[in-house]
Amino acid sequence: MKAWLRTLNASIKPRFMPGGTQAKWFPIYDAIENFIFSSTHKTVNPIHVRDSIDIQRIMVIVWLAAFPAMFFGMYNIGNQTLDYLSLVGSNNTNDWHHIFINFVGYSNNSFITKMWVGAVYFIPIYAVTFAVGILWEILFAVVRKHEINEGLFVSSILFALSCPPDLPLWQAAMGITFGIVIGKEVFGGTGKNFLNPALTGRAFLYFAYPSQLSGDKVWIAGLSDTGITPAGYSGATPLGYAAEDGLNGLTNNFSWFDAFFGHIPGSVGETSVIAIGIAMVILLATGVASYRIILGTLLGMIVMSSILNIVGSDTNPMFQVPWYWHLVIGSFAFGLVFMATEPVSGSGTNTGRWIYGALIGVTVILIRVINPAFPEGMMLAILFANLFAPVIDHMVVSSNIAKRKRALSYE
Amino acid sequence: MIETTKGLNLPISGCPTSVVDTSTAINSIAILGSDYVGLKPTMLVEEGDTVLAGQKLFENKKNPGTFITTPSSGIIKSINRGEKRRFLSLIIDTDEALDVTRFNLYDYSNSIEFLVDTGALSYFRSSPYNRIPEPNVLPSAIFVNACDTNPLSVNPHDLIKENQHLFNQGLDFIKSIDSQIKVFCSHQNNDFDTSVEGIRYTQFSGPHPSGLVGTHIHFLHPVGQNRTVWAISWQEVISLGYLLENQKLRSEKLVSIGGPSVHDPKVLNIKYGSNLSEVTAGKISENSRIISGSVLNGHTAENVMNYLGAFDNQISILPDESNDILFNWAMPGAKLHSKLSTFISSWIKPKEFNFNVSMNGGNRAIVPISSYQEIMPLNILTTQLLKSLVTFDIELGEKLGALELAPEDLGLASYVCPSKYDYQSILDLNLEKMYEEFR
Repeated sequence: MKAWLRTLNASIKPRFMPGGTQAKWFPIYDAIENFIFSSTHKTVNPIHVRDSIDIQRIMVIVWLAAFPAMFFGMYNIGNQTLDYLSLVGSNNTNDWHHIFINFVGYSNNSFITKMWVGAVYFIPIYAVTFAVGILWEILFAVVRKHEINEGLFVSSILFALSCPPDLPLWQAAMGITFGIVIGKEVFGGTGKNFLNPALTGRAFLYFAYPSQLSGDKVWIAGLSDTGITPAGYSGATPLGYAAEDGLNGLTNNFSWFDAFFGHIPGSVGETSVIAIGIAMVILLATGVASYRIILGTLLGMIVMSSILNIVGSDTNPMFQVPWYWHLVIGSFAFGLVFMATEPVSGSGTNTGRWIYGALIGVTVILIRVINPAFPEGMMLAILFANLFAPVIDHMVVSSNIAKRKRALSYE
Repeated sequence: MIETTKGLNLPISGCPTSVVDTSTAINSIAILGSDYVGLKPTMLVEEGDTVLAGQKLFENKKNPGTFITTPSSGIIKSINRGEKRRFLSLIIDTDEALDVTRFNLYDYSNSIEFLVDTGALSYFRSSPYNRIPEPNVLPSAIFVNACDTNPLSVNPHDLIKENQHLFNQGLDFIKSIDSQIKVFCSHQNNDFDTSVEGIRYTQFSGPHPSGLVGTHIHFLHPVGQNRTVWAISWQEVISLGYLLENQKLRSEKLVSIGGPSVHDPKVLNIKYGSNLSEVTAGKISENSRIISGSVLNGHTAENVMNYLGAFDNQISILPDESNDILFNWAMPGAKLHSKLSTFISSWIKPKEFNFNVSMNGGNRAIVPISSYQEIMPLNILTTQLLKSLVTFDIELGEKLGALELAPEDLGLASYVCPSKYDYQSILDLNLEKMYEEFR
């Protein structure tokens, strides 16, 4: 098999090399070759051995780490949607998704139907995101003659997981386009972006199409199609309840463990702290994510929310929400593990990573609690900290330079 | 004792023992241009000339008054130049029957004159810029390095012990160059002989690069634009002692040979600049890459460069092949070494790995993962420094500590780089630019 693939590869490779008939499509060929074969390049002077790690493997690790959240997300969409549909007693909303859901049925007791419904909603979003993203990657790679970067694997899955389950597919295409092109490629591609591409795309959608990305109607797939909200049912996320009624709004509608396990409405991959926790363990154990950023963010969030708990407010019920609720609602955990730790747009110094994390933690609470316009603050907090990361690094670098100067002037 | 914790020891199979083998006969040696940074030779000899050990071969036009002398007598076979007439190597067919040049320290008015005339000044390298010292600019300190933590290296402790008398004589001489110069000697063992008075002995321990002289300089007497130090390795200190005692250059040195493709990894007593085909004949497997120096910072022995580098105390032999794995990104990788724990090997921890010369990935932009900082024991912001080097921002690079580094100090940074940069060559170019701009 391997030998056959190698021979096949050797026979088509010349077409894509300089001077070949398909030379301008080399980046596509190169990407496929890298996907199947390990690089057979040999080292040259002066460094003769190389670590087995490459960017491809790092990206694949993050991609795989997102799988638990993805599978749980699909299950949760199905669970929430089927419960809702049986509550309103209307099975088919004539939306195109239901052509596929009809194959398996609407039982809200079966794991299979739940997974299936979730897949019917999520997989098209992911497929469109990935396909549109790779088209942009190819376009830029061919025009600018650089290689196709594996970072797209990560950007596309994180973007798709951070969307509401009922997102119109054309909006998914718009979002990932903005994220890849404006968030990354105009600056030169992965490694040179100063914003997190997935978040940039998600933030673009949030501000461009607020009716499909915020409010109470978008977190249960099918709710916006039927438009029916039975008495006592709103479809709002825990954050939505918290914004209205503070801690009571949370505890009256959800148990903390529901939110921890992820049985709550929300963006596809962001609800389960357990699934995201598995990813965190993987990313920290492999050394791909920085524990400093994660701890910094957690500390910032805990300190800031505790301060607001103590300060209190008569008019703003969000002040009462304690840190352990902030941890499990909204996209805090997802952003903490997957978005804040992105090494390129985050701070690049070890000291800077603590400050960068703390800035995210403090900002997310400020936006959630004090800003009346946005119930969710994680996405904006991380983008805000992305903008500050170069300043933070600059301060750390300056202090290091001053220290070095002092060491040199000893005598 | 200075203990460093950051760094990385590469667990390459075929680590040499310190048993010395003197049976290898060498008939061809060379002087390599790449050993001397910034070298522009004015030749004093021609092809076909007979030269005696200690005779001057060429003067460095860029550093007038410094000469390279031949360590062995023989006939000059060829002088090889590359692109733009860059000097590559001067090859000599050695002849043991010929005489040698004699040098007596008492014939010279001072030690520097002696070092210049014998060519032994080229035993030293000055830091910053990693060049042959300028004879008229004395350093503020001289660092003697009696450590070696390179992959596949031998701890020089035993080898020094066998030549302790010559080593101490060399130290005595270095101390006598000028009373203003501080002399440091770094070593790795508790029972290291620290008997020479006036020498500041310091023990270093920790993973590679704790044994590199750049690390020692950083912790003991950091350099910058306004402070120069000289560095010399234990091998050349023995050679200095030999030169003083026997009044002729030491033509042989102790060089370890190791790696997965070596039948019997050990230490060889061979000539300075030995032809590596002669050295390795019968000692290694077919299809091997012969590397003069460390696997992290050495040169491939081939064509006119098929010779031992002047500062290399080891020869590393690796299988000349790359990994060929289908869908490698999805494979557990039980036999692949990595600093980042993304392979199963980081959890099952095999004791040794059969390294080869696989690049293990394609070139990408720098992604600032934690590995860069974890291999750097110096107080240097590694990721930021590497970025400044890659963009040739020499102002920032200097402030972040580039002048404290020689290419060998960035060997591990290149090793762990998932984007497969070669930071050593990039540092070399930066240092060259800095040398022109800052001086």
